[in-house]
Order: sequence, then C-alpha cells, then structure tokens
Amino acid sequence: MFEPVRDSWLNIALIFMAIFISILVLAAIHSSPPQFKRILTVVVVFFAGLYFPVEFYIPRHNFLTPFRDSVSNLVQVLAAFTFGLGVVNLVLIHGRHVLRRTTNLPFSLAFFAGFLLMTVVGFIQRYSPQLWAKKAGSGQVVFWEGMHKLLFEGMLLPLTSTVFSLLAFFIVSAAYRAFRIRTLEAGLLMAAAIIVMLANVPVGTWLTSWLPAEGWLKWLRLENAAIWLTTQINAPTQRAILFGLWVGALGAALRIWLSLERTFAAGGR
Amino acid sequence: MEQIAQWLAKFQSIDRRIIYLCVSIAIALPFIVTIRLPVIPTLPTQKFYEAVEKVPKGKVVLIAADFDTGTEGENGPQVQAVLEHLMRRRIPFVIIGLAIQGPQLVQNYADRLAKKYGYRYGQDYVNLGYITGGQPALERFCRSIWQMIPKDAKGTPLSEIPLMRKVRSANDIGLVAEFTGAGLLGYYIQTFWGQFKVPLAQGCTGIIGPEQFPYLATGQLSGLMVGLKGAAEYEALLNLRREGYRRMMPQSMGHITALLLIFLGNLGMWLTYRRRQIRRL
Repeated sequence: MFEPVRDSWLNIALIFMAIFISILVLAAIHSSPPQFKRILTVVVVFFAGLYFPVEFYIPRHNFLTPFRDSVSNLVQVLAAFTFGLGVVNLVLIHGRHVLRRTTNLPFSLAFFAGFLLMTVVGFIQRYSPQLWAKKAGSGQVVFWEGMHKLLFEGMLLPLTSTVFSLLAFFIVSAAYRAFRIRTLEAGLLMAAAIIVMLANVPVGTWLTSWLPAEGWLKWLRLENAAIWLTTQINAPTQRAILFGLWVGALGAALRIWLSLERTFAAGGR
Repeated sequence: MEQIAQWLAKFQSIDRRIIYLCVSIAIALPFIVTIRLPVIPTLPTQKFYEAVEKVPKGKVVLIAADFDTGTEGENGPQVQAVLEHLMRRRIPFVIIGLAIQGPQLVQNYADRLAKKYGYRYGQDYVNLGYITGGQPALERFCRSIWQMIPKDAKGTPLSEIPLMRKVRSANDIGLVAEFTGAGLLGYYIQTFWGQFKVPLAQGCTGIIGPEQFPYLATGQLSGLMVGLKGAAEYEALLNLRREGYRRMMPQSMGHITALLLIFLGNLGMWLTYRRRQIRRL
C-alpha cells in the first residue's frame, strides 16, 4: 500500500518520529479515564476482529482486499512489540534484583552478561562484521562471526539442550510413581504405553523381529501394533478432542471479539 | 522367601536420586558399549520419504524450521536426513522459521552438507530467516514471498539471489517440510494446504506426535516423522547411519530403564498388598 522510503536518513527519522508519536499516544491513553480506555479497547478489538472474517468470506478481491498487506504488516509490528515488552520485563525484574542486592543477584548478573554479550555480538556480526577485526584469510572466519558461532553453537545450543534433556530424568521418575496398576483402566493404559514405548525404540522392533512381516501375525510385531494403536485408537480420539477444542476456541474468540469476556474487557473487574 | 518378598516390596518407593542415577547409567552405556539394532521404517516416515520423491522438477522445497535449540535433539537429525535426501535429488530449498533460532540451526546443517553435495548458497538454497506474525504473515508469504521478505537472513536483496528469481509465491513450492516441537501445523494447513494446495510433511517431537496423526489420516499431511525414531527411520530409507540412528541407542536404554522401574514399582506395590492380605487372614 505504501512505497518504502529510499533515503535511509529519512527512513531513520520517520522511524524515530513513529516511536515518538506511539509513546505520546500510549501516554495519552494511559492517562485517560478508565471508562474511555474500556470503550477504546472494545471498539479496537471489534473492528480488528471483524476485518479478517469479512475479508475472507466476501468473494475474492473485495473492497477490503487492498488493505490485507497493511493489516498483515500491523500484525507483524504488534508481534515484534511483544519482544520489546519481554525484554523490558526481564530487565525490570533482574534490574530490581541487582539494585536491591537480593540472593538472586548472581543469576541476575549472569542474565545481564549473557543478554548484553549476545546482543552486542549479534548486532556487530549482522551489521558490521569487519569492526576492529583483522581480515580473515582463506579457511578462516572473521572474529565476530566466530564469536557469534561460539556463543550460539558453543554455548546456547548445549545449554538449552541440557535443560531440555533434564526432562528425561523427571519423566522417568514421574512415570515410576504414577504408573501403578490399581484398576483395569490403568492396566489397559499400561499395556498401550509398553507397546508404544517399546515400538518407538529399535529394541522393541528387535524383540518381535522374528515374527513374519506378512499375514495376520505381522500385527503382533510391536512396530505394527504401535502404529495400529496410534492411527486407529489414538487418532480418532485426538480428532474428537480437537473438534471439541476448536469449537471451544471459537466460542472463546467470539466472547473476546464481542468484549463479553469480563477479565479481558473490564480489566479483571 | 519372606525376606526376598520384603526386600522386593521396597521397590515401590525407590529414592528419586537412585532413579536419576539409573537413567544416567542407562543413557551413558551405549556411548561406551557399541550396540547395533535394526531400525524398520514405519508407514508415516515412508510417506514423508515418498512426498520428497514426488517433488516436481523446477519447484523448491520450503523447510520450515519451527524449532529451537531445546528440541534440536529430535528435530535436528530429522532435518539433516531430509536435507541429505533433497541434496541427493538436487532439489533446491528455501529455509524459513516461525521460531527464532530454527533457520540459523538449519542453515548450519545445510552449510555442512553443502560441501559434500556441491550445493551453493543462493544458487541451491536460501535462508530467509525468522518470520514474525504467525498465520497472517504466512498467508502473505504464500501470496508474495518477495513482498513479505524482501531480503534473506544475511540482508541480501532477493533480486540478487539467483534461486529466488524463480520463487515468487506458494505456487513455486513443491513441498513444505515443517519441523517443530510446537503445535504450529494449523497455520500451514490454513495457508499452504488450504489456499494453495501445496503438500505438507512434518517432522515433530515425540511428545506432540499423537496430536498430528489425525492430519495424516485426512491427507492434509503427506508424511509424518515422529521423534528421533522418525529420523532414524528416514536415515534407514536413505541407507545412512547418522545422528538419528546414533541417538536411538541411548533412547532405547532410557525406555527400557523406565519400563523396568515401572515394573519394579508395581511388583513392590503388589507384594506389599499381598503381605497385608496374608496378615489380615
């Protein structure tokens, strides 16, 4: 809808002007009476929620279609704003720990160190990779690119993988405590769990690999039994749950759109 | 006999630290002792393989890297197996991601494999980076890739990238291969499949696998690779033994340990119950 500005300085000026106007508008809304804020929220939510279904259900290329890209851009900008909110929130929480020197101080310092290091290195690597760095020879990488690789692949990847892999220990511990066969239903669940768990690893397939691959006996092979359980028992159940879930989601969306959801429209009152 | 039963009854309340130790030993063991077991490809993985085989000449494959380092353990080997298959067939591919770290991770794999297959960045594969905005953004991407993402992840304009000259919209994409640990499949079904009829295939983590099977039954998914097992099966179809296969052995031992502990817990519970009944009599 709008042509991008070619002049980079004018572009930067426009960005700052947009940020300044956004802050002014947000400050004005913030200082307005609660009743006005409520009406504004209801009106904005109603029209924003109206756009997509109306544009979609009226046959293609209607009067709303030319605005589709602009609305899509707006959604992207709003999504990008949530990142900013996340950063502000983290900085506020950890900044409080640092200023008050609480027991969480070391963790908050670790957060600031990691956050600043990753941000600075990421920006330099992206926008000015030659900054203060020697020219890389053949088979070498520029300092900032190497640094980014070290932080991303050498630190972030193993750290998050380590945290995620802790789940294995908790799941085994929880399964050991929870899977007690006290009823018939628990017994059936256990039988299905054993088949699926074993079929999901080569040990399971090896255990029943002596059974014929064709004929009715093939269904006794663990991998086939697991597929049968997943596609014939699990899939219809999941489908039923999904139907219920999405009908519920539609109802919830309608309530939000029409501002009938009290926690949302009345600010939790 | 009574003493043995008394000892076995203790298994119903094993200390969690002992459980953690058992799991550690079980997972570490295959790294020390080599164990080789067969991997038999299942139908959902075979369908994924066939979906890649059916990609028409002149079309690209869209790799949707919707995962981050947390689920890299499962999604990583899946993507690597599919990339290897694409490179063997000389199919060009475009990387995007609805998760921030995903496209970078996939590009790292692609860069490593590219040396082996002579793939060149810009000519045979492109990384368009992270896409924010969810379903509306994907819908716009389907209609016009150039308008949605004017530059690749490195900041190069698409007009300067040879591969992107022939990739303008979803009509130029022969298959969308999504790799994820989250429930984002709906976005792709509503856009790529629903509006442009581009075939979809998914590689997902084991934990969300059961939720994806209904889409396979309806034909909205052309193929499904579930968890690390899916990656190992895909490698088997490619006659490879890479990360998927290697990581299967620790997982096998982990599953056996879990089942053994569950059995011991139930045995302990049952023996305690029986002893109580005998005492009452």
